[in-house]
Amino acid sequence: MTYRYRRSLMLSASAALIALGGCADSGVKPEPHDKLTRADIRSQAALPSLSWQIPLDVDVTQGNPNLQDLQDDFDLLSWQTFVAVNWPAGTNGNPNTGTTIGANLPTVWESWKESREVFLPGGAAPPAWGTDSPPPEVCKGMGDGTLNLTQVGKTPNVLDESAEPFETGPLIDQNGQYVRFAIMMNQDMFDRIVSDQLYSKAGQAAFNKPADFAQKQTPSNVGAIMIKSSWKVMGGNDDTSRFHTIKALVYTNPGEHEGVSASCKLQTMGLVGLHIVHKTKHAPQWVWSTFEHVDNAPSLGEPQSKPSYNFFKKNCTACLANEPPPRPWNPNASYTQPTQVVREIPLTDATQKLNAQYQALLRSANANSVWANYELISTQWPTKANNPIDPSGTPAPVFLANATLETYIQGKTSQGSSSCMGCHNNATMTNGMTSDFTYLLQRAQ
Amino acid sequence: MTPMDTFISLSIGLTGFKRGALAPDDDTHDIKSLYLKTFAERVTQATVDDILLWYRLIDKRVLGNTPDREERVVTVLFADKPEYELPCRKLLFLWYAGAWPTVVDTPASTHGQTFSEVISAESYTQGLVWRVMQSHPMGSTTYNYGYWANPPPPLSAYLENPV
Repeated sequence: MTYRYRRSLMLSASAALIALGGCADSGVKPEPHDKLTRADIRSQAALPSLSWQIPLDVDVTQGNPNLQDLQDDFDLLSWQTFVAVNWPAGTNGNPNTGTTIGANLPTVWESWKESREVFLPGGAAPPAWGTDSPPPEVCKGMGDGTLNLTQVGKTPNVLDESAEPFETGPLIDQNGQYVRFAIMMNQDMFDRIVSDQLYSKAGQAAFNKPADFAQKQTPSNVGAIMIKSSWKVMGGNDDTSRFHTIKALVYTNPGEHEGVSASCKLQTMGLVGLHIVHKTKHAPQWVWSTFEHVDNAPSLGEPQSKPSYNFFKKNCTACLANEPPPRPWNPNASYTQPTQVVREIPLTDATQKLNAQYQALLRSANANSVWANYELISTQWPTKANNPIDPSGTPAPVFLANATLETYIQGKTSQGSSSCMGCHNNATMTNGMTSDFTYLLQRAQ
Repeated sequence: MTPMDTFISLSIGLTGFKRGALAPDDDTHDIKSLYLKTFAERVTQATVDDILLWYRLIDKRVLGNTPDREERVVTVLFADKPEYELPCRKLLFLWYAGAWPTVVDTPASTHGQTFSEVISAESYTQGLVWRVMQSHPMGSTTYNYGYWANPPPPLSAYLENPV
């Protein structure tokens, strides 16, 4: 089923008024996009109010939408989801519905399960949802009273990865520090992994069929969601008031890089990138939303408008763009040559417009909102979800990369540049069976 | 009909593929725009304009909205305007191979040789020849791991759907 054939029964009130206003003389009601793009309509209408509710699926409010209309609708879905998952969490990890988003507080998704808590040594069953897992041995005694995490009754977040996909290289910030990553999953995804026993190699072998995270969605069961985040160490001249920050145990995993010893530090980390991946009813290939901090890097061919960047040094003629540091890679190094990052595919005008609207809305809720310092890069979604000759769903846009998560595979080269759905379409479990667009199941032991 | 509409109808008649494959509603690759541009650059804009004009005129004369309508229009086009056959054969080559052909006449028994130039990385992967083979270009596939253990979808799926 394509989104083209999925019609919302009602246009938004403003869109309907615009459409009716434009056809008063002829008596014929044109499709809204005959006169106005979806972005134009939205720019004249109020955004949905900020909400803690994760939208279940895209809302195609326009009849006969074209590709850009649909992209706009998915971008709106991305922002709504971003707001909901970053909503302040209550003591049980659920959204605190008595407040609004804005202050630098623990978020809903930060209480979800980290991959290291699910895929345990020996294929052991993971502790139940809401149960803490101990940090790695080397982190014990490093501190457990972080501002963010004690409030959700959880041991500190552990950032245990410093490598980008396909071993393309680590990302180094302008202070010479390794960027760290974490992958989290929501309860709907976790429950499916547990019920199908996909957390272990033995369980996957016994399951003996492709993994499938599809599930009936209800307001209390939003469907499987994965979040991959990237964090930089707050230091140097970093303005922490511009970031969502956490205190995290930064664990250097000796298994990631040869010759590197295990280490752990309790550090203040600033969020610089966020993938939000949601399996919805109409997107069996999942919806892939990616956000970045607005100060990360300039886009190719666009003005370098920021005073400074997290991952780009202005006026550096000797800096090679998007080149990983030379090996050996050692996250324990006190200083490593910073990466000169350039975003190779600039944001579209429509996405930039929506970003400006959402950033203004977030500032209207809280003038100092850290979340207004993040921007949507784009949303990848399946244009033809049930295409018999393309199980990746013929994604739009064809390529999508987060400059902090796929730094070195940006661009538009088929099979070489980052395409969320194109890449994850090949993901399998440890038994070679497809894993429903997640590589996490490869971590089973 | 816009020039692009006519170009797509002509291309349907030449290639045998359906509109959903050549110009899907949500056209993420938009290879048709590259091909129309290439067609105009290689055979001149004036020639392309003439071909599309004649196609539209003949289209009005052809009766019946049968599935082979575009093919019948092309047949009449070549009968009325045989000088358009070679440029349209080159366009056909472009759609299938993602490359523009240059035919060099030689006295050899083969009566010539065809050299081709791939237009872009995307035209290479979007070539229709891969779909006729019910396969994928070397180095690029949208199938998922282990696809080779299963029979491919029917040819009709490749003729109707985008990749």
